[in-house]
Amino acid sequence: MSVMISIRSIAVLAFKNLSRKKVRTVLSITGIIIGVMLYGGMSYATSSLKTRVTDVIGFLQDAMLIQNKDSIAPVFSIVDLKIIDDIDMYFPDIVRDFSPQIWLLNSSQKQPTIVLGVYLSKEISMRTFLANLKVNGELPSDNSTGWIILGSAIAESFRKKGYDIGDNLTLLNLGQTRSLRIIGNFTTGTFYDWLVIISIYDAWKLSPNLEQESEVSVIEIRLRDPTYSDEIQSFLDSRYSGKYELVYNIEVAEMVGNTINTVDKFAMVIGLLALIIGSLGVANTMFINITERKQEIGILKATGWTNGEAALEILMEALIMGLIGSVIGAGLGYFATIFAVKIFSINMTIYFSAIVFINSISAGLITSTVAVLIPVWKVMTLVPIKAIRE
Amino acid sequence: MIVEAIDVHKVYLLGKTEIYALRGVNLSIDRGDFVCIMGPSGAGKSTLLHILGALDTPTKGTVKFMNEILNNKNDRFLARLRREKIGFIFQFFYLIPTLTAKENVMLPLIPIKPRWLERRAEELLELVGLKKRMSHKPKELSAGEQQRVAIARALINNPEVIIADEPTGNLDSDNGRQIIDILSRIVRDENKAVIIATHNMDVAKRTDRIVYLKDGAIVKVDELK
Repeated sequence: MSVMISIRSIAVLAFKNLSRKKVRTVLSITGIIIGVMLYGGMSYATSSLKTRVTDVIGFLQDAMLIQNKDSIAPVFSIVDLKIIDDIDMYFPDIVRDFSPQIWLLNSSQKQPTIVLGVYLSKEISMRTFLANLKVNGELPSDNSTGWIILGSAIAESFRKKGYDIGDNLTLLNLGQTRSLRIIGNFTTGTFYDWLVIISIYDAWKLSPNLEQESEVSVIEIRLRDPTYSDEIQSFLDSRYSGKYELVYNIEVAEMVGNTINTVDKFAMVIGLLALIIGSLGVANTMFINITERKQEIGILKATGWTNGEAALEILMEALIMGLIGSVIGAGLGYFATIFAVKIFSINMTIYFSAIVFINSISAGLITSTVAVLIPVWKVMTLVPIKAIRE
Repeated sequence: MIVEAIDVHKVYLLGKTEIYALRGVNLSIDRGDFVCIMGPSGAGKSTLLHILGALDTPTKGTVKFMNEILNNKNDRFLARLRREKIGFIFQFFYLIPTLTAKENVMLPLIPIKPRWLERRAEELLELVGLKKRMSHKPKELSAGEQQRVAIARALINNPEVIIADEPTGNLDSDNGRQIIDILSRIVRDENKAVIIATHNMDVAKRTDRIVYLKDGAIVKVDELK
C-alpha cells in the first residue's frame, strides 16, 4: 500500500467540509478579504507613492536652488540675476545649467494656481526640463510670450471650469493681469503637475515686486561636480553677506522619501492589524468546526488517519479560506485604491504591482495559517476514543 | 492468531479515583471467528474493543496483533495498523454529510488514495446492497442504509478484523438483522474475523462465540458453533 499522502484528495475533502457551513465559511473568507484588501490597498498606495517619490528624486537629482535665506517658499524669494555671472566667473565650467525661475501665485478664475515662469532659451536648463516632460500640444519658440502650459492635475480643474487647450486664461498676481493662451499640458507624476508654466517674460509682467529682467524668484543650478556645492555656498555667503542660500532639492526629496517610508510602515502595521482581525475569523471558524466535528475527526483517526493527516485536513481548510480571501482581497485592494484616489481626487497614479499582489496573498495565507495553528494542534492531540465517546 | 489479549487490565483515573474498566481479560480471535461481547453497560465492552482495535492501550497486560505486541507502540504505528488491518463500525454511523456514500466509504484511505480505491468502494457498496445508492448523500439514506455504508467503509482497507461497537443499536430489528447477515457473510465468504459488542441476544445468537463481561472481567464464554 502506498504511503504517499494525496494532498489533492485531502484538499478536495477540506473544500467539501467547508461547504458544510456555507455562511460561516463565507463570513470567514469575507474577513480575510477585508483584511487583505486593506493590507493590499495600503501597499498599493504606498508603493505608488514611493514610485512617485523616486521619480521626483530622479527628476531633482543634482538640482539645487539659490534663494533668499529667509524666504519660506520660492514665491517669496527674490534673487538677483547677476549671481549667474558671478558664479560663472568664479567657478568656470563647474555649473552645468542655470535656470532662473519666477514663482508666483495666480488668484484669478477662482482657482489659486502656482505659476512657474521660465526661460525657453536653449542655453537654459528649463528647456531640457520641458523637453523631458510629456507635453501635449505645441512647444513655444524661444523668448515667445503669451502662452501657458498646464500641469495635468491643474488642467483637470481648469477643464471643469471650461478652459481647455486653445482657450485664453487670465492670470492675476499682485494686481497685475495677463491673458495667456493655453497651448498644452504635461504630466510628470510629481508635484509639478499642480503647476502652470509660462514664459519668464510674462511672469515679470505679473510680478511688480521684481525688477524686470534682473530679478527672479530662484535660480536652479545643476553642478557638473556636486562636491563644489559647499564652496558655492561659502562664495554666496561672503559675496552677498549671507543673503542667499543653496537649497538641495535632493535632500528635500529624500526627506519626503523617508516620510513616505514611515507612512509605509504605519500603513503596513494598520494593514497587518486588519489582516490579523480577519484571520481571527478563520481561527474562530476552525475552532467551532473542530469542536462540532470532534467525533468525526475521532472516527477519521480510528479508521487510520494519522495525527498529521487529520491536522493537514484542518490546515487545508484554513488555507483554502485564506487563499480565496487573499486572492479576492489582493485584487479588490488594487481596485479599491484606484477608486479611493478617484473619489477623493488625489493626484496619484496607482500602479499595479505583481510584488504587492503576491505579498498581499502571501500575507493573507501566512496569517490564516498562523491563526489556525492552535486548532491544528488541538486536532493533532485529539485522542480518538475520547472524541468518539464525547 | 489475529488478535490476542493476555491478562489485560485497564484503569481510568477520574480525578483521584481509579476506575477499573478491565480486570485480567484473556481473549484470542482468529481468522473466521465471529465473536460477540455481551454485558451490561459499564462492563467494559467498548474498552475491550478499543484495546483490541489498537485505539487504546492496556494499563497492564499484553495485546498482540498478528503476533506483534502493541504495548508501547506510538500513535503513528497504531494509526497505520488500523488503516491496514482493522475496520471499525460504530453505533452512530458518523458519515460525513457532504460526501456521497461512495466518498464516505473511501474516506479512511483518502490520505493515500490508492488507484483501486474507487473501484473497491463500488464493489463494497454492491456487497452491502447499495449499488444504486452510491451517489446519495447520508441524509438521503435510511438509518439501515447508512449503517451499511459504514460497514463498507470498515471493509475498504480489506481488514484482518472488523470491530463493531453496537452496530445494530440504532436500528430497527429488520435493519439490524440485515447488518448481521452482512457481517456473517463477511466472516463466512472472506474468512475475516468479526468482533461485535451488543446488548441484543438475538444478535449475539447469530455469532459463533459469546463472551460475557461483567465488571471488566470475562465471566462466561458460550461457544455456539
